Amino acid sequence: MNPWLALVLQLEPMVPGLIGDIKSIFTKHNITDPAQQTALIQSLVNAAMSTDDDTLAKIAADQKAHGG
Amino acid sequence: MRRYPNGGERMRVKLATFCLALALCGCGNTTVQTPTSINNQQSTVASAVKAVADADSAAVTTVISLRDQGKLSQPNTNTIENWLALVATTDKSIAAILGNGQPWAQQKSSILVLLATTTAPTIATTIDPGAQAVITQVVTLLNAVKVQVAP
Repeated sequence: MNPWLALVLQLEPMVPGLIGDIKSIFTKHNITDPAQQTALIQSLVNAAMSTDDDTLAKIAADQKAHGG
Repeated sequence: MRRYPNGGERMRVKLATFCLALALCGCGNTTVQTPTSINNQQSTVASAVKAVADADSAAVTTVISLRDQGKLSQPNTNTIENWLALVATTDKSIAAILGNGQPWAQQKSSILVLLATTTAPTIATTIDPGAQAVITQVVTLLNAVKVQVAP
């Protein structure tokens, strides 16, 4: 993975929306290189999966605490 | 001149600009694999999938808060949480499909099948307006994905 992309992924949890901002910049500057587009899609996919995992854990914890 | 309402947004813009500068300086290597087909729809769906994940996470927080304020019964909370869990699981599956390197036409078809399972809970119109709003938001975002993968 590109070092800059790794940095973005590392920062995303602390700066929600960062990946979306990066995507806007790519669009604005018409960065159409397939490898960079692929990396961007992969970064969004990874971030979504991580957020979904957190959500599932949050639901499980709440239901355990409240007998759901 | 653009004004930023809070420091967080300003920091985000700075970080985004910094990361873009790194990318444009060629600091990255070329080890990222390139699938055979990339198109705007894939990129749009990837963004929408992340948006669904964020909205789903926020919805759980809202529902728990409404329950704790006494505005939502525990059974209704459970029903909504179970649906939000289904959405999170489906969203993860869609993300996995987007990353599997298969042709877009095949990915679209698989994603469309998954989305058929995410119908909103039937209590959605009879509960606290705050809970209805978060359910509506998640449904809207799921529909945004559906539009992109519809045949």
